[in-house]
Amino acid sequence: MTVYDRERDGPLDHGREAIGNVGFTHALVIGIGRYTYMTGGHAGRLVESAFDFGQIVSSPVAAREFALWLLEEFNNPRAPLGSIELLTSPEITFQSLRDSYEASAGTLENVQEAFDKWFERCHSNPANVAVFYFSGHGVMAALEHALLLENFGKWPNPFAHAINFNHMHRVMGSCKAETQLYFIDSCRESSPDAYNYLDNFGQALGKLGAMSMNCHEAPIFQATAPGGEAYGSASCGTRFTAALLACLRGRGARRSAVTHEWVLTTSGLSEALPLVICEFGSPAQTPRTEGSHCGRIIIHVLPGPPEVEVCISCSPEAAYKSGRFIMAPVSAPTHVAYASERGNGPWTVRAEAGHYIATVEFETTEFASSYCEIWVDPPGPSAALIQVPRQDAKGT
Amino acid sequence: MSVPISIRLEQPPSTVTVPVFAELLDGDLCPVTLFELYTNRTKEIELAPGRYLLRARLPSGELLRKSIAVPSEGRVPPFVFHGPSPPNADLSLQHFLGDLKGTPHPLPYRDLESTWVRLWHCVNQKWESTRWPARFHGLGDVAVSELSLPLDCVYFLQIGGPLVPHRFVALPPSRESLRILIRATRHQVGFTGGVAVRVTTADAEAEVLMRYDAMGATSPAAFVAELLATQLEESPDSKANPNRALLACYFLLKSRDYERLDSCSIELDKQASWLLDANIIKATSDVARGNSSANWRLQDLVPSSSRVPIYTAGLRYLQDLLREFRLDPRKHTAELNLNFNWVARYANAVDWTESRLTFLGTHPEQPDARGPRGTPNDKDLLFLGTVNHLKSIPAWPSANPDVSEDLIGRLHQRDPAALDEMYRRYQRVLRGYLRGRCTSLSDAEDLLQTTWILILENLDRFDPSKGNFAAFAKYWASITCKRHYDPRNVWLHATVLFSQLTREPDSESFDQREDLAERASKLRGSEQVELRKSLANIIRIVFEESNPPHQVLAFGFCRLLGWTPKRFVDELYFQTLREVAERLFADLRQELPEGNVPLSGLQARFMNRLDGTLLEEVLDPATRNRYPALHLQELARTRISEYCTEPDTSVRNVSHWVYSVTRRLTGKRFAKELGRYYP
Repeated sequence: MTVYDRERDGPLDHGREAIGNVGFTHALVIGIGRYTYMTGGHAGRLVESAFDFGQIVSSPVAAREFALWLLEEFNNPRAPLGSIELLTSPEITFQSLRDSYEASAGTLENVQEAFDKWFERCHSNPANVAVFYFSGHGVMAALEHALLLENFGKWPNPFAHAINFNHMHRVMGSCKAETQLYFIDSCRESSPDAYNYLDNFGQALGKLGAMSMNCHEAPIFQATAPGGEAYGSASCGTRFTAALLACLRGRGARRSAVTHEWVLTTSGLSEALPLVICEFGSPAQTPRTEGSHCGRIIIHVLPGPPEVEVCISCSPEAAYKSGRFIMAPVSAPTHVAYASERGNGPWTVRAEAGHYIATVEFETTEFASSYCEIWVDPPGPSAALIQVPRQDAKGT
Repeated sequence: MSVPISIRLEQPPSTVTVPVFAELLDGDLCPVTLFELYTNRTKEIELAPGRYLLRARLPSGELLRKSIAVPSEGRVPPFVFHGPSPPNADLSLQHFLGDLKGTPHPLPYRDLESTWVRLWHCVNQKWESTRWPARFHGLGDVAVSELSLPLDCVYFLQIGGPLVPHRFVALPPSRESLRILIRATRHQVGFTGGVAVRVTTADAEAEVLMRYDAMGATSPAAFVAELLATQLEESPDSKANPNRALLACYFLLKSRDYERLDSCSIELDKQASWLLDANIIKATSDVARGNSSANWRLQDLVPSSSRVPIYTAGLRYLQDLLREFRLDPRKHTAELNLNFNWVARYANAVDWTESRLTFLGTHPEQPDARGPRGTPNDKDLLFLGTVNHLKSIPAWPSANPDVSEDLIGRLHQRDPAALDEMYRRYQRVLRGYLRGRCTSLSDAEDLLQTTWILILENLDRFDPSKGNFAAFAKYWASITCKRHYDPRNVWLHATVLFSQLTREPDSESFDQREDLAERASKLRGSEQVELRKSLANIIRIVFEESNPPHQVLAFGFCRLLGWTPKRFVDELYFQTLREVAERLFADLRQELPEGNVPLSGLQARFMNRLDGTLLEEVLDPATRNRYPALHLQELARTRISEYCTEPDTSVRNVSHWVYSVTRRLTGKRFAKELGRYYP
């Protein structure tokens, strides 16, 4: 289902647009959580046990979150949002600009139809940006990566209802869009059983053209390294998408030396993703950036400085009882940008990226007010420790 | 107005300079300059007065952040930063590169002990394995080995064990020596078996590029790749290093810098045309540019038995290329299909998280994603646990002398107090040692006195650098024992003792081996037939009585076949009692001529015993109490390792089992029987 079409719904309010011959960003977002032929599915029979991975709750949620980010926050003046195709299993309701739409189910037929539309849109202009997002089960055999669709297992070759991502990527080589971004939030575990289907390992979704290697700027942001697992939970969605959105919202951003805007480049995203996903703890998940890219392509321009988590503590800990933290930009030291309640510590705050002076103040004379310099820069978190000297009753 | 400032990143080892990607941000976090900052080398730059944030991305993934204040007046002192402190000075480069990341934890001794390594290389289109040509040293929780390899073919390290899936790790074609680290890991335990292997070359720049690229740090990687490519173009032959050229070419290919890739790949071809990686790089860049001459390259890409890419990226590109060819109906041939399947088999068994090709399999030509485990019956395995100085991790003990130099000096001067001290220390050890080797307690007591006399007579020959005093004393105890039994023509004992003396590593440093060999050979004369009968009787007694099976097996190997307890532990530690028994009887059949002893009947009865549980088959209450966890287990399925409650003392345990059986044999019950064979 096309949940956003610029021609139909009009331009977005928040996005800026460059003057001149610009392209558009077209997105195909797929989140598969319902697998009909796996345990918990409604079909009368199950796919062979080696591929029975069960149902996922987090994938459709993650797909919706990503689509929402595109609709509400995405800003690329050189390629504003042009369209979003959203397919989820189970079908979810998506509130777009004007209307709410029910996403199409992630069946092969629907995916093929959405892919064709998406391809045509992307193909219309070399300046277009193609965004492909998939969340759901994935299987690898050798290096071939199959993304499993809702009806996976329906036919004797279960991979008939899957996308062969390598082939799809290859098909996109013939697409004119010079920048193509792929976000694959799925497991990449190798399966010896899948190896038997290597000759017909999913659908390419398009015609594999004449031999030529992909020469586009086409990074693939994979949730995990080949052979690895990608994790998620019903309550928090998937780790990769959560980390991806955190990076897109600023944790992967850096300031442009030319425009001085906060931008997210392919390189910045590639470097920040592993750091952010580490914060989810064990078991470890190692996102990988693959495909060809120079790293300098701007994915997203932030409206302002990103917010970064800051943790300020002081020593000795006894000072927390009567201390109050404040943070002021170095450029305007008298302007208190952030302040804590008295008696709380260590102090954690989300602050805009910048250069600050952090001070801890006291009402009593037991401790002397102290300060330190702190740089708040993505991906964070930034931390500082303020050494607080004790003083006597006279304040010396 | 700009002020000259100098920045220095101090990072051990101080002799090594490693390029690190650094950027300076101003107060608004706008990038001011990007530059390479070599560790332990001062970088001079000019900055306008103000405050800056220096951010340096370390190859370990760590982000070093330092504040710099450049005053408008006065002399600016150098800004010196310190990198992360390594846990061990000898491993500082590896720590800096991130090879020691993760929570350090000791490698379980049992795992280490049975884990082996060996080297594979290709000779005349045929893969051959050889013993690992270097030693492993213990450094903290890491086992380290260093070696240099000729630049003539692809080399693989293979590691495996009963608990560690057999896997191959490609060794980079480096002109410098390689450093191999083996340590415990909790990462991908299913693949690694809990044992990680890290290979580092001394070429720090190439190593940094590999780490940056692996972590997805595109900008830093591009920075270092630029350095390498420039060096390669400007002085191609001065630093001929295929590994460096390979990494630079892979990065240029990834970033689609084809023009520079062309010049660098020519250099790579000159340095190592035997590398399949070189062909893959050239073919990929040709195909990407639509170069029609790519057709002939297909033949170059045909993987042969000796050609496997060194880097994982190479396998990826190769598979992409073959897939491309396969999708083209004009090029789709049966041979291409075969090649694609060949690559797919490797791809299925490869650890894609590693930069250098790492795959599971028993043979370089037979990748096996299932991860076979076990110990091949080959002589070229180097067991990590059998290396003397690798007894355990952490805290591998060095060959510490067990007596002080002062005491040795006093001994040499025949100081009575020093002699008393030595007697007090080693009397108990020697008595036990002799009791395990003598046919009676009285013999052992007699020989103990003789041993001390011999030790004192030969004290001048004791050299602490060749072994500790305990080994020296045991050596002379063995000599005493042998001299005692030699005239009595007890072939069994003479042979066993001779075997022990020649195989005991601790005694290698001492002489008289030739003398012993000569004397032992004299024993094998006309009386050998009779002595074999004695041996056959002993075998019968041992296997028919109710000695605990694990003790019987230890006795069988160490007494009847002449193995040392150490060898027993090295080779059989993780085998089940059934496997060990089958091996023992097979070996005994080779030692004894047919008809001497009904081995088949003995084996059948012994195997029947193994079908029972420990409670059913072991009558000795002390043994039962010692292994409560094994009470209800089928004996045949228990492993030797399960009888060694303390891994560090497993060799001592085996000696004790042998001694236990010997003592029972020399007890009253068998005195008469044994008296016939031991005059």
